Amino acid sequence: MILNVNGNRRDVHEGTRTLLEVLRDELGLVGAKEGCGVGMCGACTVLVNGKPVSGCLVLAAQAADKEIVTVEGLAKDGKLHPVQQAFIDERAFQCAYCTPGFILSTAALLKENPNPSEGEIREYLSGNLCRCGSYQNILKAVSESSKRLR
Amino acid sequence: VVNPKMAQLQNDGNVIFGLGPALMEQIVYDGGQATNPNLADYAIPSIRDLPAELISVCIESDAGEMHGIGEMTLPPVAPAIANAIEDAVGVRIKDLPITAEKVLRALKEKSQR
Repeated sequence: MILNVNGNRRDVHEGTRTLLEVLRDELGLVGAKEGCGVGMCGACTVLVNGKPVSGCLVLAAQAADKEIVTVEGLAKDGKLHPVQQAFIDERAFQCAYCTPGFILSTAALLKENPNPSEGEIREYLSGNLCRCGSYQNILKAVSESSKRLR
Repeated sequence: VVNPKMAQLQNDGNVIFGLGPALMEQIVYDGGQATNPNLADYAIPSIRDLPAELISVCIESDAGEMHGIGEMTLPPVAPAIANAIEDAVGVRIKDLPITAEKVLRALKEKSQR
């Protein structure tokens, strides 16, 4: 089975495992994390055809003919994606376990809505949990990303 | 304060983590079995629970010793909220989490007294 991951066609074997397991165990892309395993925490967020999905709830085979983007695929030509850079500049993490998920959700949000209000940011990111409670800096990083991407 | 930005962040984290046990987090047992052992049934603070305003003030002192912040601003969160509730509506909730239901029951009890 072929998965289109970060613009590369990758041959994988275990289509009946979750997308998260295949990305991490077969392809070595460990940016997406397993948090709760039941689709509540957002740590395993990846983009499938531009939409954020929980990698723990999707079978790899369901993503076979689609475009998958993980956090490893955001940087281009050795330069971080503006959302990644804004998260660093605003110190939007402590332990950083949730960060790949937050960054991908933010990238998807800003594609859909380049100039979101604070309420819209809070609503869109409510499926990503940060146990360290870095939400205030995450909000700043999202606003900053929005400015930089416009 | 050696690193003000990270000190502020650590304090934010303490307050937001502290909101969890203060207002929402509770493991429910039935015959010794936890009935809500996952994040679907056991809510923790999300970005929607971030207060509209959250400001950290670090106080400098020459007498202070150098040490990590750790979680020392986490324990006061629940009592601070309990104090605020008593100040606002005159009932003292003594067990966590402080849910809307507990406050309503306490108010009803108070009005019957």
